[in-house]
Amino acid sequence: MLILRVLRSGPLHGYAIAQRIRQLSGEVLEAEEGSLYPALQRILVQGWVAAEWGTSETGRRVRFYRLTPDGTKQLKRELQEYEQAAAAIKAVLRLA
Amino acid sequence: MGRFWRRLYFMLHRRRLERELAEEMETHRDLMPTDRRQHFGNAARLQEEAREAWSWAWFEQLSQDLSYGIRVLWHAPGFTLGAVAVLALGVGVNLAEFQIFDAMILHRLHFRDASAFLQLSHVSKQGPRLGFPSGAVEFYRSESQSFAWLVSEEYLDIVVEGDAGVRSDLVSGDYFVNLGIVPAWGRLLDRRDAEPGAAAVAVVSYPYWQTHWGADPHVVGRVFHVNNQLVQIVGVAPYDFDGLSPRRTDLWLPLIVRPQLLIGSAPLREDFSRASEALFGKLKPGVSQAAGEAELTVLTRELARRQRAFRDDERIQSEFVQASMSRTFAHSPAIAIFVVMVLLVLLSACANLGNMLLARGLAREREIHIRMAIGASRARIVRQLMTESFLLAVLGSAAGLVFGGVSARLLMNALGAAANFRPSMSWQVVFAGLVLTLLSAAAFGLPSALQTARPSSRKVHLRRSLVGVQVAVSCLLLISSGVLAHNGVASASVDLGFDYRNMVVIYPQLYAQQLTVATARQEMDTLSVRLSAMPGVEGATAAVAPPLGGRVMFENLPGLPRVYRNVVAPSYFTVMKLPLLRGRSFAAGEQNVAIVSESAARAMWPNRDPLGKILNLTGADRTIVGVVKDSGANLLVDADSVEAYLPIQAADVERSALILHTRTDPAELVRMIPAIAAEVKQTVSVVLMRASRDSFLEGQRRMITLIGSIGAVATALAAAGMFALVAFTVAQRKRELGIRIAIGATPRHILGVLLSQNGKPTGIGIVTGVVLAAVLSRLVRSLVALQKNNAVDVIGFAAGIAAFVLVAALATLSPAVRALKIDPSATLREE
Repeated sequence: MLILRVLRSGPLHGYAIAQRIRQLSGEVLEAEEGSLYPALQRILVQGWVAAEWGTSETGRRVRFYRLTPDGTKQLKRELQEYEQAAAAIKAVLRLA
Repeated sequence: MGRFWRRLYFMLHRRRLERELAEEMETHRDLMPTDRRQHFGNAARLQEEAREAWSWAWFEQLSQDLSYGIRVLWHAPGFTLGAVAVLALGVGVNLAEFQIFDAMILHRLHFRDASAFLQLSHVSKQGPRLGFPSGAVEFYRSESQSFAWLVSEEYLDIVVEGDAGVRSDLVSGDYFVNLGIVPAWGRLLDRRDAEPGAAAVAVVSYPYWQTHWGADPHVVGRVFHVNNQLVQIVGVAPYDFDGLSPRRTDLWLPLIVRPQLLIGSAPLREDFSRASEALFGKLKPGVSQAAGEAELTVLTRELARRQRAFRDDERIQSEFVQASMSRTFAHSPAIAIFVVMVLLVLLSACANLGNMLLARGLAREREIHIRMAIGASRARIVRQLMTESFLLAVLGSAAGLVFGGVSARLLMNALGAAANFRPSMSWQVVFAGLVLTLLSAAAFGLPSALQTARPSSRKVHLRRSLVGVQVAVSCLLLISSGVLAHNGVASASVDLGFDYRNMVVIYPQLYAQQLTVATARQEMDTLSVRLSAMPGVEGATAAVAPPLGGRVMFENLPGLPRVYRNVVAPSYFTVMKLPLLRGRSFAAGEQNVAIVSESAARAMWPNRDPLGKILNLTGADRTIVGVVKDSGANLLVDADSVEAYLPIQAADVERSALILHTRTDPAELVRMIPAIAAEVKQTVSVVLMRASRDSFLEGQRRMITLIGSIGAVATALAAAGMFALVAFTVAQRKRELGIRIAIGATPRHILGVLLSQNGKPTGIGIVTGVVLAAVLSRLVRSLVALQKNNAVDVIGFAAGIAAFVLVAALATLSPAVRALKIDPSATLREE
């Protein structure tokens, strides 16, 4: 979900995705950065993102990942589910 | 583009994609600040995870595992052959058994619509009876509307060219036509042969044709003597036909010739004298079983009004032939024991396999540790090991199918089964084999695989318990084989006490004629006088349950062994050579007295004088007037038997049989007796006592053959198991043994080290096996007759344990010798 969210603002390459997630989460989510790649492969197979080779701002050959229409829909769905779950948890916490 | 196509695309472009992914990850690491690089993770593992995402990873891994497994097994031929052999033995025995069952039950009746055949019986207050009088059968056949056909067969012992004891079936004329049987040679019986005045003809069975006629096709048209009547052979029945009743048949004759073969019997239509025909039928399409039974019941009631052969309350019942057959078969205690033993063989094979896999896992410890160190998960290792187990299972089941097929054939031959009990390799057999092997590989491969893949090596417990199971089961099987084989030998050598070789039993079946008590007595006396007057007859007596016959009467009295009861004439003890040890024999006409055997006297009144004591038998108090020796005939059947004899009463006469003792070979008499009986208008069946004994021992011999074959397999498994165990121990501890030898351990010391490792579980296994065998032999005693009185047959047990120890010692020998020959310097240099 995080990857899809990060890609909503436009295509990014792998290292940039990792950087963005780190920045946005305020350095809290600091998992193995490499695990980004298996995750990317999984959503590639799902067809939620598409990949294309290009050149980075520093002139290196990198692969850019871009959200597909399917991916946008999936992101919307996941956000909705997440919000519902979060709201439910919040409600329980308030009552308890 | 669907998900499937994307996957396929990834599969096809795997190499390029892998390269690209690696490049991408490399770039990523380069871009990371040096101090954060360790946060990237293990690149190799991540790549593998990514690959899993792309494709049918399980499929790829499976083919990888398979090819790796094949290579591993190929490089360890000793282990592979051993494991496959063990599986093949365990599964093969089960398959052989399955095939024999299959042949005996499922496919015994291989003719068209066999599953629709009904056997009819008539039921009254006195219980069900299978035999119908000929007159009734003819009546049903002409009157019934609900049956497509009705056929009957009647068992008859006949004399062919002086050869007594040939088994024949008298059958109705349309018997073969309705069953749809095609002859092997010549023709079969048909309607013409059943017409009045037709020439007497016969069809011979295939095995009889082969053994007695040398498989000569010119036998068709030959004429021979059956009960001194001329009969022409018209054909040979097919190889796989043996009649509808479960017994061997040598010859088929049309029912219409019965008056010729048995002088004095009436024409079929009028013959209600004996209920001897087994009746089979097939319903017309659309007619229910209940409707068929109801129609025949109505016809039977009509007959009951005219004839005394049926009672007024008689009903007709029908049962599918196949169902009744499998029931009789499944109820046989011998079969139950056999099934248990066969399953034990499988268990032993499985424990064996589990142990081999575990030992193999130990030997591969290094390899597995390396694989785990470079990132293989435990689940991944278990999957790899299980793939190897299943490879073994597939190989094992293929070998098991071959072994099972061969051994089924060998067993059938050893059992002397009728020709139509032929084992066949049906898809059910193949399927059963596959399921069995896969299950056993899963059941015993999995624990071993789990243990092997556990990083800390605590494999000792599982291995010890597997050794224990294996030893216990092998011991149990060998002891059981020992006990049963010893029992068989013992019963063959039981001293019958009387001269069974020269004894003939004659069953006049007066009870079937519904005579008054006085007439029955008169008929019996006449018959007895005529038969005793034959040349060579030394003595004659009468008994309701002649020894070794089909009739057994017994009573279970509280706190006593089973009491075998017989009702005998006063002369019985003299003719049977049963000496009176105390008291006297019966006096003529005496009532309410009894004579007991010496073992019965001992059991009922230990250390007291039995004479004059009162025994309540069959609802009356009886005074003991004498004590006789134990009868060998009952000892043969039941070693614990005790006997009680009651004097014959007038009402018993119609049920009793005559026993003749002759000076010479009584085979000649068997031919004369029916003719003499016919002179006084009686039809009798005649049995040679030695034939009864032989057929009883024949059954025992078959049992021993079966048990022995299982014992042989158990021995082979025990040997393979012990061999594998010690061989692997030696291989695994080679270094240590080398060091021991280098610092001066003696051969005795080395052997001690090797044996002590498995000593404890082996000991526990042997003890468990012995205890289980003792429990089992108690169970067995309640099912089959064992010869020894004590619950634990010492000789049988000793033989079983000795066999196990011998096999274990022999199997240990070669690896032990290899251990002694270890060259310390060579071994230490190896690492």
